[in-house]
Order: sequence, then C-alpha cells, then structure tokens
Amino acid sequence: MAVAAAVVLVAGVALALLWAPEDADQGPSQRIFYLHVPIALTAYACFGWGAWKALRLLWTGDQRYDLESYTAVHMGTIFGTLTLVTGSIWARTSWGVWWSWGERQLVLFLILFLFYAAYFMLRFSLPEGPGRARISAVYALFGVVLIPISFLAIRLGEPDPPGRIHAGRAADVGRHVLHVLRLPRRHAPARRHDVFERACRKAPRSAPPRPEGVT
Amino acid sequence: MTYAKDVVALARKDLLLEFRARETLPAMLLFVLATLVAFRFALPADASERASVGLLWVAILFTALLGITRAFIPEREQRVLDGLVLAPVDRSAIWLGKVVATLAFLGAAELVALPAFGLFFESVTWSTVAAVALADVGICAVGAILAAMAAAGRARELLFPVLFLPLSLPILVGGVGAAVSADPGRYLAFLALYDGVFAILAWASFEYVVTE
Repeated sequence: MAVAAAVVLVAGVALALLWAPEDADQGPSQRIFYLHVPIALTAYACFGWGAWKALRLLWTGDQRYDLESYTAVHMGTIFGTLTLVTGSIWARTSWGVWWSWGERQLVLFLILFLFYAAYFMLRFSLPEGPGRARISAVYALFGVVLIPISFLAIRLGEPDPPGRIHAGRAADVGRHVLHVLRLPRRHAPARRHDVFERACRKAPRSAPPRPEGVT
Repeated sequence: MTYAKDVVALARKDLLLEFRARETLPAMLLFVLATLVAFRFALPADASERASVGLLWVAILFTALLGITRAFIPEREQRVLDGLVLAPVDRSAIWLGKVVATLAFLGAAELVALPAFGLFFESVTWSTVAAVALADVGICAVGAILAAMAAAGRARELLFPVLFLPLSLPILVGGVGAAVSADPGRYLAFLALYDGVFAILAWASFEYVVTE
C-alpha cells in the first residue's frame, strides 16, 4: 500500500510538472494547483475522518477510536498548513501578494488552522483517559460543523477574489476590474493590465470601457 | 416540564450566586464600557461607520469571553459538577441552565453597551439589535460547552479564548454584515442558522463533556 502510494504520488507530480500543458494565462505558476488542490482535499478528508472516528468513539465508547480520530486530525492539520503555504505561494505569483482575504479557501483554511491548533492545546491540557478522549471527540465534531458554516460566512462577508473572472457578463467583468484596481499600488500596474486584457478577451461582445488609471 | 424546571432551577442558582457575590456582571459592565472608550481613542477621527461597528462586535465578543470564561470554574473547583452529574437530571439541562444564566449576564452588559455605543459612535439600528440578540444565543450556546471543556483542563482561563475565538468568527461576519449591509436579512438568517446548528450540537454532546 505504502509503495503503491509512493509510486502514484511521484507519478502524479511528474505528470503535473512535465506532461501537463502550460496554462495560457498564468504560465508555470498554475502548476502549483496540481499540489495545492489535492492537499486541500486531503485535509478536508482527514478532518472528516477524524470527526467520523470521534462520533464512533462517542457512540460505542471504544477507546481505540480516540487515537484514530487524533491521528486523522493531526494529519489534517499538517495538510491544512501545507494548503496555506502553497496557496500563499500561488497568491504571490498570481496577484503579487502573499495573502488575499478575497480567496475563500485560504481564509477558510486559516480559520480551520486556528481551530485545530486549539484542538491540540485542549487535548494536551486534559489529563489522559476516557474524559480526554470524549472531550477531544466533541471538539472534533464541532470542527467538522465549523467547515461549512465558516465557508458560508466567508461567502457572505467577502467580495470575490481579485482576478477571478466570470466570462460572458460585462457587468461582472467591470466589477472584477474595479476590484483589481483596489490592489496595493506596488504590484498593481502590470496585473491591472493583464486582468483587464483577459477580461476583455473573455467578455464576448460588450466589454466595459477602459477605466481611468489602467495603462 | 421537569426538564424546564431543572433548567430554571440551575439558571436561578447561577443568577442567585451572582446576585450575592457580584463578581461577573460588574466586571462585564465596566469592561465593555472601558473597551468602547479605548476603541474611541484607537480609531482615527475620520474612521468609517463600518470600522466602528466592527469594534462594537469585538467589544461584545470580548465581554462575552470575560463572562463565560469562569462559567464552569466554580463548579469544577468546588466539585459541584460531580453532584450535578450524579443528580437525576438530564445532563443537557446543566448546559441549558448555564446558557440561560450567561445569556442574562451578556444581555445586561449589552443594555449598557449599545446605548454607550450610540453615545460615543453611531446610532444603533434595529438590525444591529436583532443581530446582537441572535449572536448572543450562539455565543452563549457555544461558549457554555467550551467553558466546560476548558474547565476540565489545566490551563482553564487561558484555554477558553483559544477554543472560542475560531468558532465565533462566523458570528462576527453575521453581526457586522447585518449592521452595515443594505440587506441585513440574509445575515440575520445566517446568525439564526449558526445558533440552530451549534445549539443542537452542544445540547446533544454536552453529556460527553461532563461525565467522568
């Protein structure tokens, strides 16, 4: 199993780096998605698995589920941290900033990182035994409920990320161009031009007029 | 009906203790006032309404932290919790009684905080009042069970804010959104959803937190 996983992993990375065609808009930086997205999905799976094992512990009282739940949450936190790191690198190459509050998945993983870091603090603060297992399990269940609630909150509270263009509606394109114009000045000029040109290419007939300040 | 009587008796016990000792509520009232005054000096003179509303929510959240942190510590220190767990009551009634008591403390603190906010910053809208009421339910529902978890550990007062703040971030989004948005309805609906989901989860799982 471990050998098969190692082979598939190496093959996947090799295909992503050597075989997959280069993205026309973003160039080689887009290849980080072949790592970033699977890592994020693995983190979700680990958190879900940890919560499932936590539920089994509370349901059956079998203490072996405690270690299984803890291990899954531990792995999920590692993958969640890697998601933050790879997402941050992508934000830097794509938008010129290390962090964007407009990128929902990154913000969600930041909240989850804070939550699951507190899981470890809680766990190591409690005396070892069935009480610790049960309290950790309840907290892990809160985590898996927090994921969709936080995602909903982020969607409610944040504008779309800079550069995410939905083709076809001129109003949308104009909105995104205006959003890009609000990026910090030090990295903005080149990006503004790129995103605006891309927006114009993707909006089929009724692209908005070029706003002031775009070179 | 027995369940409701148990909840009322447990909440009454907390309110009576507070009425006699006067420890938590005066601290919360003074803290929220002092925080608003501190924010007044922290904000630039030309700060937007959105910024001041955000600070109101931070003040409410921190005041709740102050009040709820010690919610279960007297029970743990004086081993009252052991007696409550052994008593012939549903364990979730212990949680619900604590939610009612902390809700009363937080509501009393906000009766001072909201007029003070109106005096120092902007006038308070009805959507803000509705959001505060809905948020209080979520804060106390989640806060009560997390306080019970933190009280079982060694760090206690240190642990509770670390556990609570990540879970309270959706409340901040809903509260600030309801106060500044032209369409507060969807933010209020989101706060109601948060309350419902986490209240059910806390109600169902509290038993596992307090049983030894």
